[in-house]
Amino acid sequence: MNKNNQSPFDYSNWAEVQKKYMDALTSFNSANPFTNKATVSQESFWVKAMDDWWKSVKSGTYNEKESLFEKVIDQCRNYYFMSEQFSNLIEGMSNLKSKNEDITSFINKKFQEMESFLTANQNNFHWSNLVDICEQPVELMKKAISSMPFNYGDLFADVSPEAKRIRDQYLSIPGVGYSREMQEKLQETVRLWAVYQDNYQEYQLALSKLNHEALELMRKKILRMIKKDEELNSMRQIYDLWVESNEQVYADYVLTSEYSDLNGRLVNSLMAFKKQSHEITEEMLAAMNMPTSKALNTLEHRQYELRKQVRMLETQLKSLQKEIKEKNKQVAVKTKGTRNTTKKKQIKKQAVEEKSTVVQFRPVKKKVVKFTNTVKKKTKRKTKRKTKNKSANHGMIELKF
Amino acid sequence: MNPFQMRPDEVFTEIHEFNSKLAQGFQTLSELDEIKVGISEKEEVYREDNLVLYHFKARTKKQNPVPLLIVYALVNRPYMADLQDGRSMIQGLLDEGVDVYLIDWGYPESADKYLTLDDYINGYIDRCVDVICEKHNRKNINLLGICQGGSFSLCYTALHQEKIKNLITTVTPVDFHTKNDLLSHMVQGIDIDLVVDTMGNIPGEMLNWVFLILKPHTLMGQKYVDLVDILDDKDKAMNFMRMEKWIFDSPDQVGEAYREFIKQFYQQNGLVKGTVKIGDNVIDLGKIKIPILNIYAKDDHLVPPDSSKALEGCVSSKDYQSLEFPGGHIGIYVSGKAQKMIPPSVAKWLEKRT
Repeated sequence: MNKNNQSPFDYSNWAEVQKKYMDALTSFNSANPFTNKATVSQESFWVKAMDDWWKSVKSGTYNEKESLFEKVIDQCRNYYFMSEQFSNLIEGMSNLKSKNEDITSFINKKFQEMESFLTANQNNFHWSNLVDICEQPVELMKKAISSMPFNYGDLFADVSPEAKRIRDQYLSIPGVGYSREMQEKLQETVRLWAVYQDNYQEYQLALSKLNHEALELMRKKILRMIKKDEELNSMRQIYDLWVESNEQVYADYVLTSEYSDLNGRLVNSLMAFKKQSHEITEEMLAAMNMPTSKALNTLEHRQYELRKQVRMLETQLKSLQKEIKEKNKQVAVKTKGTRNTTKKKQIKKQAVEEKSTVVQFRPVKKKVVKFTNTVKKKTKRKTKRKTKNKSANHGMIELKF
Repeated sequence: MNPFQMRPDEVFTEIHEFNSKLAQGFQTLSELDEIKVGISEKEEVYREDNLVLYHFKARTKKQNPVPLLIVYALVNRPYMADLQDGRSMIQGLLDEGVDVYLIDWGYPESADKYLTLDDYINGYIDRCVDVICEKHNRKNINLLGICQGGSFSLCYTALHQEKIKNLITTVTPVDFHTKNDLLSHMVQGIDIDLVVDTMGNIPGEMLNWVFLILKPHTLMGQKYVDLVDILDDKDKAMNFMRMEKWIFDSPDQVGEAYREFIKQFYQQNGLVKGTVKIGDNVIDLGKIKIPILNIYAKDDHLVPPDSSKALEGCVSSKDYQSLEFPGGHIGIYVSGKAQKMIPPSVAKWLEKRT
């Protein structure tokens, strides 16, 4: 839009724009020829239109794509809702003069109204549920205890003072008789559930406070923008600013020791409750001579130990096999060496024998012949030397072969 | 000046367009094909329990003679490193001539709940390294760890340095007690023994929830509103669906290993303190002397940069280099920017040290 236009709403015919908007709502249906006509309530245009459209197009059966789209719809609902809130603010600002002081005080006033609205509707206003950070753990925790055979009612609903009174009365009854132990265990389960309930409510309260803080931070950011002459040009930018403010406030809170302690208590109390419930289930199963998870754990642990032992033995076996292979190689080399020496000795012996009976000499192999020749020469030389030596022995008897 | 520079008709046009996109988007989503992930060609070379060791087919004639083993985290699935054509770190590495192996931890079952970090590090990883060494007739290989897999790689290298030639850590937590570590802060007050004793294996969706509540308004809200803007483009919608599939494809966490990891690493900050015990061995990062390339993401909300950067002060390597990626924890593997930066840098760094 033109920046120079100081009062952007001056030339707009509001009724005409509303009409245009109603036409725009039909855009959902025009995009899909198979949809039914959606009923649009005048009270909540954008959210209602989207909800009606979605009801008409979804198949109702679970599939990956529809499940994803469901998430998109949920978040768009919040986006529309927030856009509606800020449309009112923007509309109000159209009547203001362009002085910063007026704008600032008007923004402050509007944010105060939103804040009051938020406080008054703490439990059912869906601004506080724009992102279901409270709902998410509840869903998971419901899953975590879904395997329990007992029906504890709606564990995650807020506990009324009357329910608390009955609960405390139950907890104060001492266990008696034959089933005293079981009674005490059940009481302990209820006590652990109560601890969890308290922690969960505290957690919810802490997170809902963050919504107020985020709104306050957003207001400050907008006021800073006025000083810096910065502008917001679309609903999406407003939404992004809201997300940024929420994220900042949330991250700051998560880094406090208060959150660390609260989150720890929440998880630990749920686990303690689940463990206790689990133990009761185990006892009941054992009484019916049914397999328990304790028994399965023992089996699985033994199997794990066995797997470990097998792997260790395999490694040892492999290394032994390697060692044997190495040794076999060494033995083979030695044997080869020994065989060669023996062979040499045999050939030498044979050659000497053959030399003594020269006539019978027959070369067997080329190699052997060569070797034998050498031996033969050596033998000759030796003989000569011997002869020479003998000849040198004057007066001695000369032996002739 | 009035910061809200919008006319009512502009607001309504914006919402009108948004409505149309939303409605059209539903049709686009309905028409999308089956989501496929993991694009690079690979073969199984070793299998043990749920673990599978894959060897990726070369895409270049000339290859680095030292194979690279990628150790992924136990959280989520490793196909994030090979998500789709043009958005795959593995594909990028193969194109740069790196010979890539990858450990896929699979989906642990109840019977695996007693596996410890010792079983993972001195067992599974060590045997995979041996298989690769034997196959390539080498005494050592290169190792690349992703996130928690990076912490495992550090422990492994500290214990079996002779088998590792070069070490690359990516978005790896080292100091678990840095100032802005949201994840670490969340688990400090939790009684991990009670959780593991109660649950056995930790359900994947529980972990998923923890990751989502680190930035709940962005990851559970804004992301889906932003999706409407891209739903008119089938390719972009498909990319989103692939990421969504990966985010919610969370294997359960093996109970004992989870207990050890959260207690020793997150709660006691043992990796920097030198108190982490794997089996009978205490991990002393100071023993690591081989070349290290430490890659971290500037906007990482899961592993703050300071947590990764702490590695430099813990190891004795004279050849230590770090690389900052301008993006987030997942963007470092799947973003277009990452494809141009990470694989070439890793390949070049390895080549110089081969």
